[in-house]
Amino acid sequence: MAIVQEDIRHLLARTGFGVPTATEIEAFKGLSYAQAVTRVLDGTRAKATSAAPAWLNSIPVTVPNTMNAADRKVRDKQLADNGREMKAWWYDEMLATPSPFTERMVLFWHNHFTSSMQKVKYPDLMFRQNELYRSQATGNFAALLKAVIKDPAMMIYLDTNQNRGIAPNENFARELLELFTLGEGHGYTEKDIREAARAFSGWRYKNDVGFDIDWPNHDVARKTFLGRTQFMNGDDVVLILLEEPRLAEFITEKLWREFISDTPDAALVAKWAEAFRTSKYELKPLLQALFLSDAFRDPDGRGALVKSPTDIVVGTLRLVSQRPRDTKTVVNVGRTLGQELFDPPNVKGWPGGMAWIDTARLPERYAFLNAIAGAAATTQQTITKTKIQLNAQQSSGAKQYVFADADPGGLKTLSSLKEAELAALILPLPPSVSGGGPAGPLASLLLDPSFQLK
Amino acid sequence: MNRREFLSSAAAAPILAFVAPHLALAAANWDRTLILVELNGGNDGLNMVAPYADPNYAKLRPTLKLTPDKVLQLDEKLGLAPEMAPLMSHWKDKKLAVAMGVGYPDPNLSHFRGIEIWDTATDASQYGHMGWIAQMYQSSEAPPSNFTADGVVLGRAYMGPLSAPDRRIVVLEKSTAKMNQAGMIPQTMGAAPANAALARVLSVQQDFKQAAADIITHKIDTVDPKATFPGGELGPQLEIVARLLVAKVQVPVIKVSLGGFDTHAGQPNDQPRLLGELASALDAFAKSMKANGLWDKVLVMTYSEFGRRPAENGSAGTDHGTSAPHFLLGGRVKGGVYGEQPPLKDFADGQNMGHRIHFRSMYATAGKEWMGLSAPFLKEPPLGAIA
Repeated sequence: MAIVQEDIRHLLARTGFGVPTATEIEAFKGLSYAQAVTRVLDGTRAKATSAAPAWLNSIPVTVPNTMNAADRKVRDKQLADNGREMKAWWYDEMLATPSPFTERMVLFWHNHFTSSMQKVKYPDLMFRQNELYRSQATGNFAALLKAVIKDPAMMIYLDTNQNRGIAPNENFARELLELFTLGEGHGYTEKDIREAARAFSGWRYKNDVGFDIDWPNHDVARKTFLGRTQFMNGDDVVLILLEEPRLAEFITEKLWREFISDTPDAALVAKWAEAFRTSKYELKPLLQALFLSDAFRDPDGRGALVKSPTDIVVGTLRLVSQRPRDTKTVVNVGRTLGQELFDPPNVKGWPGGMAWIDTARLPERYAFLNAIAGAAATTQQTITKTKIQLNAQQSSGAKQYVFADADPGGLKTLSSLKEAELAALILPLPPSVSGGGPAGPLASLLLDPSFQLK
Repeated sequence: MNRREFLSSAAAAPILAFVAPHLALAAANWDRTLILVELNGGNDGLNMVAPYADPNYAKLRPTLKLTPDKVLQLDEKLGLAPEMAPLMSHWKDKKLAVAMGVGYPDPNLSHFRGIEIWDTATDASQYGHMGWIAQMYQSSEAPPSNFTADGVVLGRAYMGPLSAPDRRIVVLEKSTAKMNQAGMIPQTMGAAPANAALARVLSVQQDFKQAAADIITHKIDTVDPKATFPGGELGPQLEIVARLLVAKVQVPVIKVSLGGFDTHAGQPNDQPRLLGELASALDAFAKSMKANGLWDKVLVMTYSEFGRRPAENGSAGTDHGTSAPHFLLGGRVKGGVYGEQPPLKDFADGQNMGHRIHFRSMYATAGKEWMGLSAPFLKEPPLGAIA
């Protein structure tokens, strides 16, 4: 295995799922740091590698009024089952993708433009939203925003479908300003929210038609939004927002928190935001500036971010090259750790950062890692199947994960590394606990407190 | 300096009273325990505490209504569901308070968002991330650092009112076996690292290991709760609560939960059973506390994300609604009815009730009256239900 180049390891950990794999390190061997950044950005995808779920489009997104209670129950159960499969599908994509950065950005947009299965109820619509976020994952923010306002799942999630001229529903307009574009308390008033809500009135998602305007319920009168008075619909609201310098700063700042630290530098954010806006919201140049910056590369910033539950689950399984036999078990792990994909806790998304770590979740993170470490300890040769049974004494109930080896050599390679080499590969900081335990260095390093960080 | 060191040095240094007068003035009652009972799914209050004498009630509930001959009459207007008979001795003993019409303005009818509003004690239009108990600790004072934990969660693994990143909350779910997870967490030594994220991981895992060691040391399996708890979901949880308290594990707030209240269809098959389970488990807990001399040291409070629609639906069920009655139970509760049933008249199909008591008044009763904490964010006054 190649000697780990520390800054490239950092880049791959931060843009991937918290830890690079030995194979990824190998693939980046010999590149300069700048070349590595380019390769990460060039490797992003607009489409998933996995085939779409088989159930997609199998249930019409319409409930006929004539449907009786029993049929409705059957249908609701099918929708719920499909929803669980969709969650598993995304984990499978995260585990399989050659571009972890793509999925991190899809997750970033999912956490920014939130919607949840809990409310939307139709996995088909949530899946299409996920495809939308992937199609613009590192593309163009303006294009993404213009599509999001007409995204069916979003229109259900934030009640655009309920927004009628006579009694405007302000839910979407409020979150558009507060969470999606300007940020709470930044240059808009309650009146701007009400006026924007009027601009979106009558917009609806119609099952057989798609996006549609219900004209009798659209308020056609002039509106005054952010100081402009004109005839205005939802598209115009977005065009006006895209001219606000604060929007670019808001997104740039959020990306800083996602990839660099909890403490954005206001001057740098302003500079990058200006370039972002001038570029008409191209994401790749902005991301490139982020990753090439001294702030991102600062050696003192290693391990400054807490891994998300998705990092813990996906990153660790990728690291040890294991794939779940039934990915739904992994969905359950994500929920236990506090991040159920497609079901953020509310419209603000997962708070993230330090909030991932508390006395309820941290033991569960260790329980999962302990299960992986247990498998690593018993696996010194090629295996076709690893069955990991958490001791009932060690956890609540008997949790069982069955994994299949995705790369017969992967775990063996890892297990053969010396402790120092392994620590340099998988930890962002020197180990907090010294000395490998009897289970070998891999098991002990997975349980090192700094493995919780990236 | 970590939080514990700060708190103990604050206690030892009266000079701090000038910088933080609320610390000096607060007279928190750390000798007692608040037990929160979450009725998950949205409990139908109208069929738990039925306004049996109101003709509108009978009209809105043609098939589901509890008739005057069936209910356990509390007074000439209100009666408990017959399955709640185990609570009647506590009612007669004046240790059961029934708060009527508990809710809030502009109610949200989603399970998810509804419980979030209750948990974070915000207005319906605001989003909070921190549970109301945790906010109280922050705005007033945190539990003593020698306590086993700031809170314990049993039943569904959901911290809700206790949720906050920097609190010592232990999630046991169904058994203390969970504490054995501490064994797989590495022991670390030495000064807190400069890296804030690492420092946080180390401090949280140390808190958890300490709480786990404490609970294991108290050997709660060997104490005698002196009562027989019913099976099912809630009884075993309340038995663990009783054992923790009898074993003198110091925890100011314990949350338990009972699920299944989302009775859209076939309500007569489900809700009476759940109410019976609730009543018999609470009764067993009360007996245990009395037998162990702890009855004056506990306050039980129920809550739920919403009540249900006054008009029953077409499938012998009820849809999501708004306000509902809730209980306070304990040796120092001043029993009786608080507030009133929100009027039921003029309800066309689909309309919901207003509220009479803001849920934050319930919280103020538990937090201010009972625990002696200050909590400015609980704007509504307490009920005056604690002796």
